[in-house]
Amino acid sequence: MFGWVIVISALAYIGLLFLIARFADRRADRGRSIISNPYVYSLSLAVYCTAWTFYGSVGRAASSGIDFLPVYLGPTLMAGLWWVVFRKIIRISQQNSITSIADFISSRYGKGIALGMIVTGIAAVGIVPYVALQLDAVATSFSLLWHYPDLTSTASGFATGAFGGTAFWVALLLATFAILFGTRHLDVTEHHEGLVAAIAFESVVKLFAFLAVGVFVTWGLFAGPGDIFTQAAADPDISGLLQFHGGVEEFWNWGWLMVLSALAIMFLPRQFQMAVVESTDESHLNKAIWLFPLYLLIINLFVLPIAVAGRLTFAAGSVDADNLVLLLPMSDGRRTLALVVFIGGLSAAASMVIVATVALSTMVSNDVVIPLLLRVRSLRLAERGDVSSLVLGTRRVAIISVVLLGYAYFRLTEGALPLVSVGLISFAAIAQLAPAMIGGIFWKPGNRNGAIAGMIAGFSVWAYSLAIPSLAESGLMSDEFVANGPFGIRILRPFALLGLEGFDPITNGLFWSLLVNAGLFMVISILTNQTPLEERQASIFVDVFKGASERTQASLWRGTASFVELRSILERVVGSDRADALLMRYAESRGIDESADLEADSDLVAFVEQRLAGAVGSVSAQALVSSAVEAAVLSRDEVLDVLDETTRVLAYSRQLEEKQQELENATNELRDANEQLRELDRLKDDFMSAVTHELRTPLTSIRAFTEILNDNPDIDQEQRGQFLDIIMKESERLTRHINQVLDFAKIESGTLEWRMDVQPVGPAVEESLNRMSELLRRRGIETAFDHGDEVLTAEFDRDRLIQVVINLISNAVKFCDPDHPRIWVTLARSGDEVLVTVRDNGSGVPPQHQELIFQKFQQVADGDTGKPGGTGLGLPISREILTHMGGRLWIETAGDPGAVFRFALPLVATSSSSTHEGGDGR
Amino acid sequence: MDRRGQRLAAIFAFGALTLNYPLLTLVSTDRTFLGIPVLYTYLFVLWALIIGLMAWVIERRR
Repeated sequence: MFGWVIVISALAYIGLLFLIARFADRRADRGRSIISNPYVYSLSLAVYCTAWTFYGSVGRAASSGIDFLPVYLGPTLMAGLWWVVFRKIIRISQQNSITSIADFISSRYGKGIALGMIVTGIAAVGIVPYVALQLDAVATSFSLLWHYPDLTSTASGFATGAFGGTAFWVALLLATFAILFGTRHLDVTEHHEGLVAAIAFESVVKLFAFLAVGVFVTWGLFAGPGDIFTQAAADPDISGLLQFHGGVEEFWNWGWLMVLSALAIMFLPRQFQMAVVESTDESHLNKAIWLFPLYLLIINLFVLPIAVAGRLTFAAGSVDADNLVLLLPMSDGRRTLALVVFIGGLSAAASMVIVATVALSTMVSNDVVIPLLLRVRSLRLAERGDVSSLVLGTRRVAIISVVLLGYAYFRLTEGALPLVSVGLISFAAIAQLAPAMIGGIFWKPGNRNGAIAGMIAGFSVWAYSLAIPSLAESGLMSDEFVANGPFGIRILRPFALLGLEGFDPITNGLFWSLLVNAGLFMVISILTNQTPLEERQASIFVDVFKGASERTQASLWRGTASFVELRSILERVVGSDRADALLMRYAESRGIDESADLEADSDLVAFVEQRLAGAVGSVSAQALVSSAVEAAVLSRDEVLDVLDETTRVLAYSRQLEEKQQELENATNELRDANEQLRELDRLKDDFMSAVTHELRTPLTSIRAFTEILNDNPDIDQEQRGQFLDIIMKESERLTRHINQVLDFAKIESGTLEWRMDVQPVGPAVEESLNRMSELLRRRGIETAFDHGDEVLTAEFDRDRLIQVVINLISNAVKFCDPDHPRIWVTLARSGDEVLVTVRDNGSGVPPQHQELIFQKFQQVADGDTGKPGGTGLGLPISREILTHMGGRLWIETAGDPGAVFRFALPLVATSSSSTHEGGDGR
Repeated sequence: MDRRGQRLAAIFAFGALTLNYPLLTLVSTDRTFLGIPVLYTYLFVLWALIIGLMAWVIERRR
């Protein structure tokens, strides 16, 4: 009768879990999460406490005393380092949408398929016996309770026959739960709120159940802890449990257990699932740093009192110590309490099985099955089909497989394994992930080769020194080689490798495996190189707090992608609605209204890849995306990657060289330009002083004569007229100079107005001579103008041309022979040009100055002639004018004595010139 | 490492030292404290102290 009460209670309990999970999922769907707080988060971490804690701790304490504790002290101490280590792992995982510890490691080391498979393998090997352990505990406790009030039927871990079968049904029930709430749908955040809520609830139940039995045993069966320990002190066998006995080795075992559990608390797949993957808010970790250790402390408070009480109650060897938690209330006829204990044990076992299988199934689908299927090109998985249901299907199959494998393992070993040692062996398997994990987040040079080598070697040592011997112990194979080593080679004895004796098998195996693992990881990482992708991932992971993620996320991608393809891949993984929503949000963040307007650039590719990674893991996501990206640089072929990188670097360096050359050229040009500018600046300064001087001379004389006139009103008429004449002349000179400067400025800025007409040149030259005639006559200069017979016509601005000729004549006036001054002006035709020459009989222009005089601001100050008058702008202006009119001006370099200036204008046919003839003659 | 991280790491170091050899040999005796074995008391009191320190570092207002 009571048997059915147990069954119904168990079913009711699991039913309650379903309801809670469903409720939490519903709330999550409506956006009102019940798990998003640090308390539920801390409780969910208590998935660490399994049937091993619930039944096994007391068992271990009853047989070997205080050394059940390091497994809880290690995580407590580790919590102090979570702030540095775990916070970083969580941040990295959230930024990179990490879905499991296998995903984390393979993503860190370049997203290759091999590492993910190795990690998944190690996790599976660690998890399956552990699941078996839980099933064993449930089956054993069930069978014990079923036989109530008979205590003796289960003297040693017995759960055969029909009761073994209960384990099967329990396994299936738990698998169903895991499938329903762990693989409900494929989501980019990979959160399972229902699952988390149920696990947190289970943590409360197992804590409550254990405290209940602890209080009952301590104060119900005995008169408080003092009573228990006083009675224990009387029995040397039992009081021995409360001290250390051995030598230093015992403390080594103690310390290594702490190390082992400190690693397990972070890297066990179920812990990683709860603490990292399901984390909704990084800050929840803060409170968990002290809340979770507090939970551990409370649940361990009564372990030793219960164990001692058990030893006092039952004769040595009469019962399996692993069952004491249940047997003590039963022995006192406390049926209900025993039932509570059974439910507590069930909850402890169930939470482990559920979370571990979900975590493992995620690894199997994301890091093994999907990447492998994507590799089979003929399947064309990336281009077609509903990837989402394939992923979920894989996970469901994986969950059932793991649970069934666990069941098979349990039936095979059938209670032959003590709870704690199987658990510790599993821990040691998981510890093989630690070097790659810790190195991966703090040590950039750590690379894939090192991680693979370290893990494989460490795992092999683990298998040899722990796993195989444990099979031998359970009777599955001969234990001959454990005792004497393979083929009698004693230094290869698994529990005393290389003859290192005196340590616990766990200490021995963990020490050697971690030594080999971490050693190889470091050495090979140092000796071999990273691929570019690895390098990028390494910096994303190690520098996560420096914002490395955003910087480098898309930097390595190039090629072309199609938006439609990217969208369709996303759609096939997360569903149409979800894909639309994601792309919409992405578009909004870019300030684009329509997601269809998005450019399929590297940012979008990175975005899609990351969202996919959240659902199917980084390895699969990368493979999926590369199918949509043509010529994706992130090819799985690492050699190509390296080659690519090398070519790229070479190309860069070539470009760099070219750039440098360009830069050098530019520098030289700049230097030259600077030199010219400096020269021009100097010339300008000179010019300014010259101009100022030239302007000041007439001004000074004007002022002087004006003052004379002003101060001497009685000056005679003739002299007055003379002075006024000078003043007028000087004013004219001043005006001329100012005009010249203005002209020059106008020409320079291009604002001078031109009135170009086709007209004969002769009259314009003559006009200039006429204007100068007064001056020439006064100076007594003999002037000859030879214009030939032909009417020569050209297109020019008459006023400007006159200006030029006057300028040339005034130069000639200045420089011609002072004693017999003569000037010749000739107009002639030369080919299709009109040639005008102005020649004087002066000393001429020295050859070295012949080009200089045409430069702006330049005056030739010759020793003989002294400083010439004028601004020095006349010739440059004349040349500018002629150039503008299509002609040229130069100085004849050889031949006649004196200076010969000549200019040419293009000849225009005479016939057309006749029509303009009338307009001339002014 | 920020200040909080440093303090937590110090607590870690403190715990790692006090919960290990050789200090544990000092409390590994058959004597009792208020009826409770000294080793058991020592471990749990220290454990609670470490948790308390961590809570203090995490929760106190800046």
